[in-house]
Amino acid sequence: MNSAVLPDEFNALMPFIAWALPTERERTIKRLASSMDELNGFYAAAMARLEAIVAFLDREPLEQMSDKNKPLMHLMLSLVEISNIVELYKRLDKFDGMHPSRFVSSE
Amino acid sequence: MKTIMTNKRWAEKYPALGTGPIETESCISPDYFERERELIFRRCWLNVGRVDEIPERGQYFVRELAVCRTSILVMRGKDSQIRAFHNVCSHRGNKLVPHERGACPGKLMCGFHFWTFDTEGKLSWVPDEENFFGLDKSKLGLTPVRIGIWEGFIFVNLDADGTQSLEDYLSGVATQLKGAPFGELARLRTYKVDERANWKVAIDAQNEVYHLPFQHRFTFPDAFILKDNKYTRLYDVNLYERHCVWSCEYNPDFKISPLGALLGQLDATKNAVRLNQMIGDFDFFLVFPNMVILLFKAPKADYMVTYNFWPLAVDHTIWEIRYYYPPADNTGTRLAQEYALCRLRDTLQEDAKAHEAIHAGLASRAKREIQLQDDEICIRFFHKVVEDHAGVAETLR
Ligand code: FES
Ligand SMILES: [Fe+2]
Repeated sequence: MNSAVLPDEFNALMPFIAWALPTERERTIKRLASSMDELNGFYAAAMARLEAIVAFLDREPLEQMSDKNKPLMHLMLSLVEISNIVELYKRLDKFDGMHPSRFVSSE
Repeated sequence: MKTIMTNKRWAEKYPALGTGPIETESCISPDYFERERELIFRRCWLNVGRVDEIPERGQYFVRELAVCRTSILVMRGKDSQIRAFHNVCSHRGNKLVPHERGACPGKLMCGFHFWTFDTEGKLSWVPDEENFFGLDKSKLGLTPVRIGIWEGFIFVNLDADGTQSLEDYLSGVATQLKGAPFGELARLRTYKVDERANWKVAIDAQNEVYHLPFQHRFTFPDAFILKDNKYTRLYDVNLYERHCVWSCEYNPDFKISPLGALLGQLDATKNAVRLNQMIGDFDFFLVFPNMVILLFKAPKADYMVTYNFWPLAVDHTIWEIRYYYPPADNTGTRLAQEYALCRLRDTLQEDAKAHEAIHAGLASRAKREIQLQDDEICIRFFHKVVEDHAGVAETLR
């Protein structure tokens, strides 16, 4: 279970907290296990707050991001992770590549 | 637009390469693969890492060079110099370092009988030495491997009798990329892909952009300039002895995605690394035999991706992909890098599936040769260089 919480300002994104995943591998696994509706829902909610979140996180240096802000960063990395499906493929069955699990990632 | 749209201009620039089809037996013949092992991989300079993997004295990494049937230890000595050795103990031949990387406090100890070597590869201690028969420890250091370092890339050469320097071997690549600030880039991620394909089949599939509007119709159909808004055209091609580079010009009409556009605005990096040595907006340097350096111009800072294709067998290859960006100094930049990374990653997954499908097709021997268009000239060149080293494959009947 993901026990992460988000800063109060971004409480509205709590329904998507399961996307606050620190590694690419976890984000990819969750992407592959999601329906198109779930991806579209998360994309819309996260895109709407992206600019505010970047401004919020950039109040401290990237290298020294406090642990309480990291889930927010991981949420945005998940937005990036799913964006190709939502923006380019628009459907789950269009991608015609090697299974992502065979791209063994260093993170 | 700088790109010239004329048809068949590369055959005109490099007429000696010809225009005919290319044989495929060299990609599927186990005998030919053995020739490549001896005449290419055991003779040529091979990129095995970068100096920034071992910045501190005593740090080392091990590279399993299955294609050369050896394991290589690359270590920065106490004197700060980087050396390469066969990862084989001088006592009875045990593998000295059984793990992938580490740092030694001044000595490396073999796990079998604890023979001990210093960071310069010299044998420093033998347990119960008095019970041996006139051991000359000074002659029993690790077996060195020729090593060369170019712009931070570490290369080794298994040909102990070879005399050509790395710089000389790299010829035009070294000249073109001289002084490129690769050291200012940091590795963001590595992928290792275990593929059922010949190493050349995998390289060939990456070694052109003709396929972009088709295979990558969702991910990158229009990244590069198109003739009649339909077909890619290379901006430039340069052949350097055994290496080559092709370059593309970005398409000003590229349809950027909403997230890509937003992150482009939010990318506030002050770390504007510029690779002024580039030829086009995108350069693909194929460093013979198995390394590719891809350089990308980008609005805020340029970046690099490298490929290393390591054959395990005629039909089995490990494709290593490494992404290098200027270290991110703000959230927008970090996300923009992840965006570029994921978009290319998905494209490469499309490529990787094709590597296996193409290999299976060639292995069926339904086709004995493949057809190349003018913009696929670097595939033609690469196969010619392979033939120059390993000879012409005998076609089975
Ligand atoms: S084989 Fe290494 S110490 Fe004996
Ligand atoms: Fe491709």
